[in-house]
Amino acid sequence: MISVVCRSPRQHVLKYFSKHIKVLGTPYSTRVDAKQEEVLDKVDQPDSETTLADSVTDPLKHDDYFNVKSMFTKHDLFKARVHFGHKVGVRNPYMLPYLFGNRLGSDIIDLEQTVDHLQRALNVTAHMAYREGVIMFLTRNRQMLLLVEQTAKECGEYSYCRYWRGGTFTNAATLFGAITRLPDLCVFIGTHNSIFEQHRAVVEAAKMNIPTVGIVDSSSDPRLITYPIPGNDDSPCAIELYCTLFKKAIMTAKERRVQDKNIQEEQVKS
Amino acid sequence: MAGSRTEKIGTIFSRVHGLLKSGAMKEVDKPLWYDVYAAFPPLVEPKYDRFQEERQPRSILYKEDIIRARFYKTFGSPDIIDMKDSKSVPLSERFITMYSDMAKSGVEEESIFNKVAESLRSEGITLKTVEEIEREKKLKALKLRFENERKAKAKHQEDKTEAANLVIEDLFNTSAGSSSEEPDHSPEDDYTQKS
Repeated sequence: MISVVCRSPRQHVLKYFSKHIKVLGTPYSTRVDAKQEEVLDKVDQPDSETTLADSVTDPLKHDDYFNVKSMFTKHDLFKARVHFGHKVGVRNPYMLPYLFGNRLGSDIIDLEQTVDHLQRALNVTAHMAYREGVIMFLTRNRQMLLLVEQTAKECGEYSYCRYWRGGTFTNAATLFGAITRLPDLCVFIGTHNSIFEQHRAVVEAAKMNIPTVGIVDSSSDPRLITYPIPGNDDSPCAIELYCTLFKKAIMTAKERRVQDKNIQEEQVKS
Repeated sequence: MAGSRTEKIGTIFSRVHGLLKSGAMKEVDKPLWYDVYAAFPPLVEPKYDRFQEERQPRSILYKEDIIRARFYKTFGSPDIIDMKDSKSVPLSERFITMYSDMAKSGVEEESIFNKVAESLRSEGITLKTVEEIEREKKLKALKLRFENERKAKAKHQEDKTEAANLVIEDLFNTSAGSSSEEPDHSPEDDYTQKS
């Protein structure tokens, strides 16, 4: 299990946590350190039979709180043609580490890596949904626009699949005429805009410190996507798979939240 | 809320962390994702400034590609492949399995290709080489040309005999018949009326 290690707890951090996660009741005992390398430490894996009450105290300490790892297999990705990249000519050099190889002129994406990245992205998405964050789905793929919008609607979240007006994030207050709540997580089902350039929201989200989850094809730039998922972003069957997975993750997290809240209330009563 | 819009420097985490550390961003304003990111950081740090690899990815090639290439070079595309149907086996795939089976059983490498083709033909599958197909095409075109020429000649002959049998009186008879069917209102009448 990867976990955050307490090296030198600061009082104000604890105070913040206990205030922030007030729904969950019990105070947090984690703290965050500056450098990721320091933050990451291997901790002995706890028993899988952790009681619900234990896990409720800190879902972030749980390796796979929403069980996203059981949602899909590598074979599912293969069947949905997630491994198909673009031709060599449009390859983004920063996608090289995610490529398995080149088959007769077209790139093949390494599904081993896709599995890890997708699991992490789904886990983060679920955690954001659990914390009642605003999640926004984005795409400029006109063929799959309706499906993506439908997915966002079905899981009670937001979507922005139409023409992106520059400054929608960075100049939101002026554009909408009021202080606007920006999303807490952007999910890009394809990071290109309609003319094969990068979606402008990628940069805008990075500027506004909004984490992004994105499907990056062999022609996409993965650098500014916080949680990139190397995979085919054109085939309808692949996009359908992504949509069902994200929907499942969000719905699971929301259900879990209601469950945990009920448990908490019962504990308070008794 | 304090913020740093320099998206090319560091990561969103490092920037927000710096703001929190310096006190520019208050703990209350800490974004919702901060703890999630800390607990589950990305597998690769999402930095814009990144090392760019220069290598070429490996080519994905298999041993049987040589047989497949030879198959398609010799026979063209003998069957229709339905890409929606994942269960059906293309002819080239059957050829390759038969080839490898035969190679395992110790048949001479040189003769395997022709033997496999022969055994497929004996199953009732039409396997023609590209040259054969080309020759047949040429032959067919030639046949068609001869046929057309023959037909044209025959037609010419027919026309000639028809012309020879023609009775001139019949021609006059038909023209006389048509003149009797002339409309009463002739353009000449129009002219006379106007004047």
